[in-house]
Formats: sequence, structure tokens, C-alpha cells
Amino acid sequence: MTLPYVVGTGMHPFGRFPERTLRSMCSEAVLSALKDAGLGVGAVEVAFFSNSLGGLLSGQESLRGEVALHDCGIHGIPIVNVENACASGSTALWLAVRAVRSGEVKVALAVGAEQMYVGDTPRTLRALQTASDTDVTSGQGLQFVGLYAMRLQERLDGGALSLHHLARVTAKSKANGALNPYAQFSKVMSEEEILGARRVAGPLTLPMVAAISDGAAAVVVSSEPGKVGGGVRLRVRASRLGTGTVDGIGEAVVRRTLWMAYEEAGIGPEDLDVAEVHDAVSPAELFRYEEMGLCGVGESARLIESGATALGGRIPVNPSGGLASRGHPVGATGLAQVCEIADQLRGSAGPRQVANCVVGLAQNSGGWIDGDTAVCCVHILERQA
Amino acid sequence: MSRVERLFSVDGSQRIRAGACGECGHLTIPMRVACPKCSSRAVSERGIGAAGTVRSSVALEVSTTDYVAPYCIGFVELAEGPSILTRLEGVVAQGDRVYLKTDVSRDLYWFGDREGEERTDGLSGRD
Repeated sequence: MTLPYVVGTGMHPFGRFPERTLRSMCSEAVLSALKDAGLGVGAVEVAFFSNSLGGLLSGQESLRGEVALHDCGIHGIPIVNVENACASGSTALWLAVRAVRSGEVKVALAVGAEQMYVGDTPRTLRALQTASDTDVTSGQGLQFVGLYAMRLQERLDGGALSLHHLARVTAKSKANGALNPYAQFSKVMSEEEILGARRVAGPLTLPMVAAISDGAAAVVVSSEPGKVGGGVRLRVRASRLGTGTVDGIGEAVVRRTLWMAYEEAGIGPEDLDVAEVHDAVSPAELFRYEEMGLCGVGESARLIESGATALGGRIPVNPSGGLASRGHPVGATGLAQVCEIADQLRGSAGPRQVANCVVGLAQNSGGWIDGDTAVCCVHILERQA
Repeated sequence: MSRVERLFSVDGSQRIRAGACGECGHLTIPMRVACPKCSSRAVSERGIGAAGTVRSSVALEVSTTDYVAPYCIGFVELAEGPSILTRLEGVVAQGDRVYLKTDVSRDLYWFGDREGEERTDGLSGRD
């Protein structure tokens, strides 16, 4: 089996860009990633295009990838459209890794782009609702923020977390986002400001929640290690995709997929130097600590208090600012996480650089079905000299 | 057949049209052709009681195309086991007893705190 490498990454900033189009953001991310890899468009042998909401919000169905990639000269090759709720981007990468692993291609492109801002928040929320089994959720006013809020409220009621912990992890997210030039939000916020902001759902306030966002991200995968970043090789040590089951409650699939990825990489949580995790609401990062094994069940409050997951800590989590601060243009999110991990492993993350970074993990999840998160995708990258 | 009619008996009995697996006993809402747990096709319809207990709930403060905020959603635990995610109406809290309400003409359902009483708070009229 061919061992794949990440050889190039590129992003269009996340935020609100009503003057841009999906295809223009896509082109910018793709051409940046290829330039980063030192490759031309002709080197790409297969492309996986991730987008989740474009059909509902813009009306462009069926050929979203072919249309978006045509503008930057990627055509004539196999282009596969990928849609997997908020985990669409990482699913595109999962496919690109397999295309290279199979030996059928040497260079595969995974790109995700999303334009969620259409000037009509209820319409975007309605599109997001469809990342569930609409047979049972249609007409119920489902908002994913509500699912997170209920899970967090149970922890608050049980005393495992307090509002202070929700604010603390959010303040960390804001501080990291302020150091990321691609982030949607660049304002540092205090815990008091966060708790005093407008309430959105249960205990969650506006700064805790990933906003409607536009953006794009691309990752080039190759069988050759490339010469990116002064000869640094970024090897894909694990690439796992899981879906929820009938027995899963809450986010059982997240834990299961994370531990499958550890097994594939032959490592454990103690070997991680940095992680990007799915925090559609910033306090969800606290759940991830326990699912990843960074701490025991019920110990996430102690971990965030310790500062271990902040920049400069033992295992920084979401140095990019995470979904809540970097932004969450659904189809691009999973790939933006990998762009961040690649920057960290190369030592090119600027003021948010994690020291001595060798192994990084990206966890991306999405959707809701039968009581569980619908899909989770995890990648582990390792820097090799 | 409307979504509400697929999910519920709306002839006055207000039963949920669940699917019961003859092999493993798993209950699904709504009924499926096969059992999602064991893949058996020995699934038959079973009407289950449409009252339950609120397991958790949340007030949402952002309007959607369907509802004007604030409105509530939550998980209702039915007496026969499964939970259902639903819009909630009235003043409800964890542990409260709630009852199914349906509006066939608008293809809507929700659970409310008052048995037999129809209320429509939160409906925006946009659908």
C-alpha cells in the first residue's frame, strides 16, 4: 500500500464574503495549495470536491465540483462530488488518501468550499437542518446548537461543568482565532464579555457558536513526499471515517472513530502534539477532550483549567481558533483543520505556532441521525525529517 | 400520505406508528422496511402511546423559517422506550409529562404540556 503525504495546502479566508462566489473562493484555495505543493493543475489526477449546502442555497446541484473547479483549469480528470454534512471536507480528504493509497494516482486533490451567507439567516438555518433524518426532524425547528445546548446543560446540572468552563474554552478559542489571518473572528474576548453576550440556546451565548460563514480550503495528497517547507514530509498516519449506529447516544461515533485512528497510527493520545477538533459550539471542545482520551470522563473542566490545551500548554487544541472563531463554512471546515495541522507540523503557523510539533490530529464530525452524530472523520499527520 | 400521517395515527387515537422488529425487538420511529439494528425484514407496525416525559429541552433564541424565537425543542422519552426529538409547546421542564399534538392540514406535530388542548405558540406562519 502506498503511504500518502500531504504536500500542499491552501485556503481562502473564512468569513462573510457576499461579493465573492463559491467558485472564486474554490479557485483561490486550490491554486494556493498547488503553489504550496510546487505543482501545476496538470499534476492533479483526481479531485474530490466537498460542498454541503450549495444546492439548497444557490440552486447549483449535481455538478458543483465540476462547475467550481472548471474556473481554475481543473477539468478532464475524474471529479467526485462529496457531501457528508459538516464532515464533508474531511470525507473528501479520506477519499483522496485512498486514491493515492491504492496506487492508481500519484496526486489527488481534496477541496471544500461553502457559501452560507445569503443574507437570510432563517434560510441558511433551514438548509443546515437537513443534515439530519428529515423524516423525523422536518418541521421540528431543529437547530444543531440546541442539541449541543441540551448536552451541555446536562453537564452543568450534574456539576461536571460550570458556565465559567464554557466561557474559559470560548475565550481560548477567541484568543487563538485572533492570531489566525484566515479566521472569521479576530476579537479577543474576556469570559465576562462571553457570558454577557446575547443568549442563543440554553447556556450558549453568541460568541460560543460557529457563525454562518463562507470560505474554502484545499489539500494536495501525493505518493511522493514533496519538498514543502524545506523538505519537511507530512505523512498521513491515519485516515478513518465512521458513521453513527442505532446504539449510539450523543456523539458515540466520535469516540469510536478517534480510537480507530489511534489504532491505525499505532499511537495514543499521549503522543499528540496538537489537535484540531470539531467545536461547532466552542464548549463542545470539552467533550472532545474526554472522547480523545486527553483526560478521563468528567475531567474536561480540570483540563481546561490547567491550561494544557491552550497555546504553550502540553497539548494545544484548536490553535486555529476552531470552528467557533476560525469559522465553519460547512464543506470547507474539515480541510481547514488539516491546513492548520500542516502549518503547525511545518512550523509555519506564525504567532500561534505550537513548539516541537511532530504529530497532529484533525477530528471533524457532522449531522445527526437516530440519537447520534451521523458521521465522524479523523486524520493523523506526522512530520518526518 | 403526509409526514404526520406516516408517523402517527391521527384518527383520534393519537398513537405513534412505530416499527417493531420481530427478531430483536428494536422499536423504530417511524416504521421502516427493515430493522436498522439487525436488518431483519420481520418488522411490523405497532401503535405506541404518544405521551411521554421530557428528558431534556432547550429554548432556542434564533428564528428559523418555521418558527419565531423563542421556541423550545427537546427529547421526549416515550413510555415504551424510544425517544423522539420534537418541538415542545407550553412551559415544560425535564421530567414533565407531555402529549402529542398534530395538525394534519399543516403537516405539523409537536408535544405540549396540556392534554387535549391545542396551542400554536411560536408558529411563524412561514413554511
